[in-house]
Amino acid sequence: MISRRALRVYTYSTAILLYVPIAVMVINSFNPSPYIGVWEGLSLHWYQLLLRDREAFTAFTNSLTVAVVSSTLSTSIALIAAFQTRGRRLVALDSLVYPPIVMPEVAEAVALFLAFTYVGVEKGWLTVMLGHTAFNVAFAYVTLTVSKVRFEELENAARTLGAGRLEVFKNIILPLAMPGIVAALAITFLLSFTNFIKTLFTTGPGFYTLPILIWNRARRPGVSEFASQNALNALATLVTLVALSIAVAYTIYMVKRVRS
Amino acid sequence: MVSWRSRLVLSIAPLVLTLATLFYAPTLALVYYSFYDRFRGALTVEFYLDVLLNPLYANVIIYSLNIAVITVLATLALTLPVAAYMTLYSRGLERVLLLVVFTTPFWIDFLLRAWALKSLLYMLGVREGFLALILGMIYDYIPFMLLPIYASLARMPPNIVYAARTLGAGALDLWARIIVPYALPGILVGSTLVLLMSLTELVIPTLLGGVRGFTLGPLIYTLILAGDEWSRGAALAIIVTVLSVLTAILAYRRFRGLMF
Repeated sequence: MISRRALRVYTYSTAILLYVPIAVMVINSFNPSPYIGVWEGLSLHWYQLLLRDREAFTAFTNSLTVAVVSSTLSTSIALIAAFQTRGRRLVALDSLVYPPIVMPEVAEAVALFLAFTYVGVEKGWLTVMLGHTAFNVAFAYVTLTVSKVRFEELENAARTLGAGRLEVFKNIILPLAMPGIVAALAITFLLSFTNFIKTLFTTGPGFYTLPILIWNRARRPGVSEFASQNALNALATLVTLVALSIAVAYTIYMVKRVRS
Repeated sequence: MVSWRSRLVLSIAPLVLTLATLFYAPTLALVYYSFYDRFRGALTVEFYLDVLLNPLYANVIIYSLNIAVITVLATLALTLPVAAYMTLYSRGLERVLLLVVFTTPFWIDFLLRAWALKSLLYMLGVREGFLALILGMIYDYIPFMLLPIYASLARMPPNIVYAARTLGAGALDLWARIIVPYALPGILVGSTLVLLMSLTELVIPTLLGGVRGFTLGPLIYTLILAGDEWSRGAALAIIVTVLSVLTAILAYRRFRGLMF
């Protein structure tokens, strides 16, 4: 038997190794030298530069508006369906919902590119948002059906005890469905906010999100001050921070729900 | 009073319509373009023949498959001991913390993690190439292999290891006859997932592969966005999709009883 201690050391080393690159990225973002590996001390130089980085600001607002609209839209569409199917599994509907999740992302992205090109719509914010919504509705629907959103026994009990339709909706349906809704919103928001491949294929000239900007700069680091290695580390650190804070907020919310 | 059936139809209509216009119609466009020669205005199968028989394309497919298989084997070998430690020896808080540590990377985008690893490898003197590409794949896909295996092993009866030992099982027996068989459904799910995702990976080969980074993802990207070879790109995307669907169906059929 491989000893328990050896397995523990191995597991902990793997866990730590998983975070070493991210830690190096964060530390380097405080290094005022533009180059990784040339240590010039700690400073907020690249974060101050980010404040003047108009491209990064545009990319951030683009990512944010696309993600907010797409996650709200797809969660609402999925919620309307999930409310009515009431936990019954509709095989026909399921078989429509799963393909977008299973299909390789590159293939889906190429399909969207060809369809938008065929229709002749100008590629930009709208096509990117619609492209994200295509798979977000599927993820939202699956999330909502996995976490039960309707509790008919409780609704019936409340009605029997004299509650009106509105009261039932406000006091029973909505609070009980909330964890599912929050989960669907969080997942679709992050899927959209960090999506790269579908965005790459559905965007047009002049419209870019944060992942696209990072991609462009990461392929050619050093073409400008904003695109130097450590400037990019600062930008990547901020994006990681946004994603992690959503993850932490979501976990805390879920833990609180389970506790109460 | 509107009947239950028509209310159901009305409420799933937005979901079905969204999927139809944003997923199924584009997929049809993809199929159409893979058979359609834009320049001659005729339908043809030559793109499929070309993609499958032309050694230039076939080599890229084989090279990508090689990388995907290496990624699967490496992540499997690296994560099986971790999953074994977590299920056999970790309890309570330790297990929760390990789960959090190994799931958090899911929330940080591939692109960011690939960039972070690129910075680290740069500091260590490892430049773009085959080694960096494989390391990037392993780094990004470890969580996708670990979690399904962990989920399978977590269903192992808690005292089975002690029972086996009492009955005289050695280290080899324990791994070959208990841990691996119990992990098998998870190994299968994880391997399918990692194989299919890494096969069409675009970010890691481009950022870390250098001249060795011309795999299926970059090939499709080049054909569609950089070149004007929509039909070849579409044919490749469809071949990849068919491969994925077949693998998923095979894995699901063979191990359905074990998985659920």
